Amino acid sequence: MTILQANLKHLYQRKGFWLIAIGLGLVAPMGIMAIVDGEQASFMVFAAWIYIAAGFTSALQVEVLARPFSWSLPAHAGIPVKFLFCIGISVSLFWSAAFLFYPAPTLAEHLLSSVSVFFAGTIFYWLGAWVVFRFPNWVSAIVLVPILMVYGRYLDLNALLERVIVDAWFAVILSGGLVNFLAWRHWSRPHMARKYCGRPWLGAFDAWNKAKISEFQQARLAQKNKAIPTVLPHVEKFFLDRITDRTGPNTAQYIWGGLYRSFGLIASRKKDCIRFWLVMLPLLCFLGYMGPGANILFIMPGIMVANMSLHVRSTLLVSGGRTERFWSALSVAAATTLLATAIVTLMAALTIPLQATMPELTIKGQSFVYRAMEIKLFFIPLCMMPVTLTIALIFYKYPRLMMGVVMMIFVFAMQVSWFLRILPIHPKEPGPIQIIIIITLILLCCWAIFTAVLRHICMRRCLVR
Amino acid sequence: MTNANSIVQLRNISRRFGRIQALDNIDLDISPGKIIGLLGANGAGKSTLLRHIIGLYLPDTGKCTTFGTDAARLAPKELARIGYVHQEGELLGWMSVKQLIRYVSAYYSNWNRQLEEKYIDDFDISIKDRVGALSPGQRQKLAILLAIAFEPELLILDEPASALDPIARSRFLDLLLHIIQDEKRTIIISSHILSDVEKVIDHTLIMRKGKILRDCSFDALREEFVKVTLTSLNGDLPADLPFENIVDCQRNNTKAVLTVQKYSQDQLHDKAKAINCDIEIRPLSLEEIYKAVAG
Repeated sequence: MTILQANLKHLYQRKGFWLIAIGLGLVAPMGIMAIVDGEQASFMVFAAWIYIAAGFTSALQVEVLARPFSWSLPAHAGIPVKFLFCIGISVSLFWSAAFLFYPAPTLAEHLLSSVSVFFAGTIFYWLGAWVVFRFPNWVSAIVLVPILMVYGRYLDLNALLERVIVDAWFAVILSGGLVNFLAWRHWSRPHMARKYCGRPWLGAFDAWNKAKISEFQQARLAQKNKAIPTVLPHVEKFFLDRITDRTGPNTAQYIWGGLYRSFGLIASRKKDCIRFWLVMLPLLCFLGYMGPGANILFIMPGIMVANMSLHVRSTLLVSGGRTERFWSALSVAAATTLLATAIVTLMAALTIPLQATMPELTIKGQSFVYRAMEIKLFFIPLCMMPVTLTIALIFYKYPRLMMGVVMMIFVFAMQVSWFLRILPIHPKEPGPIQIIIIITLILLCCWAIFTAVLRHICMRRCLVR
Repeated sequence: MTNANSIVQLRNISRRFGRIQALDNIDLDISPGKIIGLLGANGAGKSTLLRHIIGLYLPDTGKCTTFGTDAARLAPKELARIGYVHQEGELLGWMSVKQLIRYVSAYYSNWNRQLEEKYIDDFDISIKDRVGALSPGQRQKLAILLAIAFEPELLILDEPASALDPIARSRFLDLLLHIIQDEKRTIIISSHILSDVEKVIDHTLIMRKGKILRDCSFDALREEFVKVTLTSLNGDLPADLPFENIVDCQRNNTKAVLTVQKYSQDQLHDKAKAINCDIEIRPLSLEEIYKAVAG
């Protein structure tokens, strides 16, 4: 087996990659159908598909390059470029073949657009590869793709792509050839292996791997020792005054200790707090035009909290026993939930005055009216967060599975609520008292389950990861 | 090592992780005032045993008592008497070293500031650095400081010196000897660097596949195993050497190097004399003893 073949085997040896392959495999036929029917967005699907495929295959290569052992592998230096070209040429050929079905008036135009698509495909491919090799946390660049797909139609990106690829085929072929030549030179550089060897790197499927993320952050902290803020003296003093043992050990000490570990740094980062609101305010201006979809903001804390540590399975041994760990974790969970709910509710409240000031937008004949978020949904994070934390406590060893379960439960809950709404069993809308009672019961139930699971783990299970 | 004054008692402790029997019916008593070397190959169950003592792990069967309390129910009062250094020590990376020391010390009323300062000077710890930016060796030094500065009665060191340089390791061993001067203190040290461990320990626990193979004083172990070199004074050595407990044997016609067990010096001299051989006896190092027992 050649070294290149061994590298290509990673495409099926990584189980996580199967998920990506299935995803891309499901999207490809839809893209081809769109091409055959001459539908809008077919060029966008093609470009996004190749860009995402390039991202994940390049990530596999960087993972190999970042391992110190690959540095010393004989004859491995020229493999990344061959690997990337193998995949790049294959996927571009695939889409080029698909575009043979693109409705064009003449055979010559058929062939030329197909060749043009091939070279355009390689351009998008190398763009995706470059992003991955350039940025250590490249996943965020992939996340932009769906957003571009959704809002690209308002900017007529598909038509733009179509015009460039079909009408300016000569320029595309020429620039594609040039890009491929430059890419070959760029990825064949002799110092490639040296540059990436041992580099802090988040792999294709490390987003839920806490150990890897922690390792990555540690390395980044080491690189930016002075740039990253630390705990402010008055914040430290506030917490340490409460932790310090004056009257003998008591549970309150450990509750404050847990809160310090979770919020000490956050409370010290005023600039980040200002930055957060500077990003959020324009986002709120935009969200209001999404209609009821804007309320997705209430769901976000419930998902984001999945990776949060309650310090239950911590090996930093301070003198707290299992009971203290339980109370500390419960306090951190409650404080996080209240804080997140307060922030989301405040954001929802801010959309109310915005509703009065934001204008009605008309894009391509379609009107968009700004609507405030439904502030009465503030209970959603209060109910969702304990559910997510419960799942995180149970599936702590399998972060991807944990995330899958979280998503499944919330999708199921939404389906159930939608189903209940369309069932003809409620002749009239429940009154406000009934709604308050139902929400209170759900809230109590979620927190009771979380508390029971947390207590069971703290008191009866091993506390080492 | 059965003792009514034991600070740690393990009775019929078993623990299984999936198919792996990490601990298999362990009975153990740990008395105060000793430095105990816990030896064993990777996966022998050393870390699992230590984690049971401080209640991080709970046994499938059996009972573990630390300072007279069920290890699962250890409260701050008992845990404040235990220092623990973990081989993959978790520290709070976003704090500076100084902040982390202040944070941990806040939990202990008996934190010894003088010892803290002396340790920082001796081990050259930079207190302004961010914990996340420390090298593995510096992290280990910091973890040791956090475990000893409140002068615990029981100090549990799980691979504490693996990332330390030779000078730091030497200073660390001196520190252990200093700590143990207080008669009430007990140290359990698990390490693969046996040449270091043998300088300080006075008791050995050797584990293999979740079982304790040996639980005895280091002196007793050193007396039990010796290496003898037999040189024939006249002609070839006999084909069968007159020793029963041979652990290891390398020989040619005129010379044999044996590792033997349970012989006194006089017995060995008598045996050599009987086969007309010159005999040279030397004690084994801990590493050689470990290989003889667990190998």
